[in-house]
Amino acid sequence: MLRIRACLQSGSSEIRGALSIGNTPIDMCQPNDGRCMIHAQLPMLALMGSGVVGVAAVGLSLLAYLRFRHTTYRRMLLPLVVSTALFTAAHGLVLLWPTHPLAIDALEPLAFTVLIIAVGRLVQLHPRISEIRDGDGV
Amino acid sequence: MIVDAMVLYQGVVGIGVVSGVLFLLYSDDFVVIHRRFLAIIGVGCGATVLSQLVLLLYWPAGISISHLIFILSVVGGLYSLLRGYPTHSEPWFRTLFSR
Repeated sequence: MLRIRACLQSGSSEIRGALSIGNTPIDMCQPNDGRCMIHAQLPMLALMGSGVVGVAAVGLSLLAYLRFRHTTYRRMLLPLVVSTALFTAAHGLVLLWPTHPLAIDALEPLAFTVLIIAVGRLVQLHPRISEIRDGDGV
Repeated sequence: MIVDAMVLYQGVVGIGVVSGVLFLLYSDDFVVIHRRFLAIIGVGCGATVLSQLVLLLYWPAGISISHLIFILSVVGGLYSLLRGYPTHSEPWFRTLFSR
């Protein structure tokens, strides 16, 4: 997931040092090269941010499930809880376990898959106006 | 390589989510409780797919930024849903979402 490109020093094109996060080598650049620092740190910050926001998302989706468990939205909100939990777990594991196997990276597409299941269930099971009008629906 | 394939898979799934949300919102056949909830999630998924494809082409290291967009849109949609439909029978709701 983390493939940070080598930032080459302009002129001498010399890489200052090499740091390894997990099994992915990250080429470091000059510390005072602002653009290079942004390139190196922004993905890490985004990863941390999505972990923190993910915890909020799990909490909010649980609250929404509790709030709407008596309605048809329940069918979407339960997979949404699973999806946000998977997403948060994936980001937390990527962040805390630098030498994670590839299976951890696969948790995130799994979260997206659960989300499309949620939308699909809503489309499939939501009461339709035409059915209610005809009298055979809910 | 496999990670790139996962990103492409997420793109395809994201397009599916966006089309499902568009169908729910605009087929006029569904009683949608809170339109803004679905709209925010649909827009967020669309933005995630676009930013993922752009980042995959031009800056593969920054892929996690698009994940941040995705989870922020989910949080925004859920917050809008909970704020839009308050319940006063549950004590936790009054504590967390007091007006």
